[in-house]
Amino acid sequence: MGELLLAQTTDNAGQRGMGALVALMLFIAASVWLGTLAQRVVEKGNFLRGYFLGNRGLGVWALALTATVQSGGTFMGFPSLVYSYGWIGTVFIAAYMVVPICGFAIAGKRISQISRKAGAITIPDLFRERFNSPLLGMLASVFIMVFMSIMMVAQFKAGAIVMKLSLPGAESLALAEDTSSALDTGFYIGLAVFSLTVVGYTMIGGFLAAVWTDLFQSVMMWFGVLILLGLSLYAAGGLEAATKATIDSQGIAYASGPGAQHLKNAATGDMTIKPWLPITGAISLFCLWPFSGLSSPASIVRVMAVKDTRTLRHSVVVLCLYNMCIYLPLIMICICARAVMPDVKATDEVIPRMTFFVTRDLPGGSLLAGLILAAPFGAVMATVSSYLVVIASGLVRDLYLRWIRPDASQGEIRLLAYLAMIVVGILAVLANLQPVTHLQKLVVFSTSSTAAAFLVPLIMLCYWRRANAAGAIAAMLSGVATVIFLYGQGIVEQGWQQLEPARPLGFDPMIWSCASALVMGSLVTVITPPPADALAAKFFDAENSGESR
Amino acid sequence: MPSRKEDPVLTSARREAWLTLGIWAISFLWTIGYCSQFGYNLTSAPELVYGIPSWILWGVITPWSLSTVASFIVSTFVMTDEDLGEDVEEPPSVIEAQREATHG
Repeated sequence: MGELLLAQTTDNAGQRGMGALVALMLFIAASVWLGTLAQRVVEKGNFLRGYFLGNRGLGVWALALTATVQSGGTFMGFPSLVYSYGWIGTVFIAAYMVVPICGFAIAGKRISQISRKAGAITIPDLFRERFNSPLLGMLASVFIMVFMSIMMVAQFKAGAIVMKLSLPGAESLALAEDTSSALDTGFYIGLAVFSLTVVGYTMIGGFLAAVWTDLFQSVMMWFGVLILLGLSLYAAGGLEAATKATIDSQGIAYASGPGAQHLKNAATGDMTIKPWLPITGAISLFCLWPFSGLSSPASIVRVMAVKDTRTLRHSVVVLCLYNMCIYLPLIMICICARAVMPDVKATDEVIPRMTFFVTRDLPGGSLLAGLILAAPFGAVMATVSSYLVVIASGLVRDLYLRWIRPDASQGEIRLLAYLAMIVVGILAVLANLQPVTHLQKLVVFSTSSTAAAFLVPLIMLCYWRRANAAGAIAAMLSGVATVIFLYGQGIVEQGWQQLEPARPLGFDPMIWSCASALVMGSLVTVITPPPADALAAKFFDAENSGESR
Repeated sequence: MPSRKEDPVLTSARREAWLTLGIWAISFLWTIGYCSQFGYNLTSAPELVYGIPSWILWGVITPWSLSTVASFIVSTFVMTDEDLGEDVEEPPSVIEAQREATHG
């Protein structure tokens, strides 16, 4: 079957592949154009606040569709899981039903208010000023840079894969899964094009470039996913036919929990079944997605940049509707993909491969494929550019300006910001010369780690008047230490290749790390002196409170 | 002794945070409760509704739809608009560091 498809598509591969490439190039050009538009706005005011925070002017659409969720994981890792394990993938992602309201309504108002009162441009600024602690600011800065860099490396791989698959002639490989050297060359070309584009437009326009291109890309994703859904359902003969076909080929476990993968032993031909998402795993994820979303650095920065509270409120509604239109269709697409392409080995690539599969016989199919592929490509570019801004702001604002040269000129700061982005981009490319495996696992590790570092300290920052720097530092350190300990234990038990953490009682490290952060943060806070009254009053009392009236 | 009055933004934000946690908790209990009861370790193929396993429809898609409605109601009718205040030009610590760097 695969050989037949390969033969059919190789004839016109060059011509068809060019269409996909043209579509992606148009998409890239539009993103760069948005970057230059953003640059004009940045030029108008204070460079730092404009470049790293968009002058606190984010509106509803910009906040809602860019603040949290889509990443390379959305279009690479997650579809890979649904393709492999079946309908249980819906439970894996179910918590996205409450991600919008949790992301904006639990701490959004307070974060944006406190960041204004503190004059904070970056997250370390926020912690440092709220708790009056340079050490806490430094810690926040280090954790952000380490964990976001890990996440970004994974994103570069995802971007390179999409670009690789859209290169002329590559789609035949997309169907036949050739793993020859041509594919590796394609990966490196893809990596180069992707890196130059994303670093380029982010460097030009900073935070606003990241947000505007993210918004544009999110809209493209919406169209891409819905078109792909229609084509996938058509290719599979409807969802019912697809589900029944997958149950027939994969067994009942494909349509039930905990989900199972049937692994065939090549030597003996024996089948073994590997269970996937136990109920404790489902519980962990229902905590992980909403609360890690709320405490993810890219998300916090956007909330800091919000224009007003009305924007926060309306963003909840927009993001709720958007999530429903993205995640549920993605699951259906993957079920259809399993029905029509049952043997994809590189499951991270299932969405790009499915795209080429369903458009292969359509007139103008290649151009359409390019437009659909813009969805995963856009998701990855969006994530990378927002991380680039956060990491560069960390290097410039939190390290250089705080510790090295507080009186640096605007020109010097600008040059340094550009340089920081280029260096981070180069490092990410170098890290991908030997591409990382297990994209989704790296994303989950990094998500768990940032949640461990920031969730509890962030809640303390927003709502606990008595909270002090010692307590926040204890919470941050114990959270991160717990995640690292559990991953370390998992690696000792199962080896590097698995990259699986230990899960005491079946619960994810995020649960344990947040519990330990909560306990340590509270304990250390109550046994150390309360914060200075003036500091607490600044962030917790009404403006005219305390004055005699 | 001067009286201390809580920041009104803090008061409304805290109330909205508790409400949101309530929505999260109900969604959590519904989804995890229903799916663990009716979706795990099945011995026969699940009933399909429009091609979707019925336990997914009732255990995930239904609460997903309802939590979307709840989010709409809370964010539109319950959450209040507040003045977030003026932006401080630079944090005091930055101004202090700049002054020190300039003067010595």
